Amino acid sequence: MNASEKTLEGSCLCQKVRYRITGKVGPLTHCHCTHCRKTHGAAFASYLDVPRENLTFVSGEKDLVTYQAESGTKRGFCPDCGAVITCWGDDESKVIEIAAGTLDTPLGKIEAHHIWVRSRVPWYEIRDGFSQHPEGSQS
Amino acid sequence: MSHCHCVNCRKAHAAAFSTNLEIHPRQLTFLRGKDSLRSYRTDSGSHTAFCTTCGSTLVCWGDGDPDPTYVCAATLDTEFHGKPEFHIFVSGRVPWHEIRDQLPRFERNSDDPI
Repeated sequence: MNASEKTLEGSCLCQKVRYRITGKVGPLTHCHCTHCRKTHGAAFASYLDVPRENLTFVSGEKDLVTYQAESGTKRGFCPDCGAVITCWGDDESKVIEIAAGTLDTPLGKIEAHHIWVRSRVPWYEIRDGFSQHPEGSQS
Repeated sequence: MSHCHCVNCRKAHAAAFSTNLEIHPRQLTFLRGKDSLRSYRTDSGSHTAFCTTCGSTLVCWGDGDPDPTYVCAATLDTEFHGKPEFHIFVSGRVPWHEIRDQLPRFERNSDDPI
């Protein structure tokens, strides 16, 4: 969990979507699955677990476009700049995931782990010492 | 092929860093979906193109380039065993991701004068 529990702010690339997070957050999950790396166009996606009640949109919430992958996972992205902001599996879930790359406030020390490492790209090696799971976090 | 830690890449990809494979525009053909792409230009003159259906950022280029000059390597379907050669814009890296490989690092672009 984020020890400092400071307020975190973030936004998409074009600033259309801006959000604020208060209270406890975490952990940080680095996901190497095919869907995450394709959606983000990056070696892995990094999502911060946030209780839904701790997330407020300052602007642009209604502009987010939702894409549902075959797995059922949904992601919300900005239609103007393509930045993914949110990820969730179940509309009723109390936790939503926020793409940590969109944070403007520096994130302090936080527990992290890697999941779906069996799908990782061959050109990136995980060297950070955080736990690695071949599939989901329970694997 | 290089990793970019600049704030624009971090935001466009909503990730710790982007990994971009340099290409000649002639090497790139869109098999389908080109009409689904939308591009965005940042204040610094970098352009990205992303899929309007899923948000996936696929290619990028700079002002002055008429066509994409980088493919976002993570979107490749073919298993690619090329190796990243360096990191750029490391001054912008996020505090929650440390660079732990031995590749050269550039505070800004690789061809920026020191």
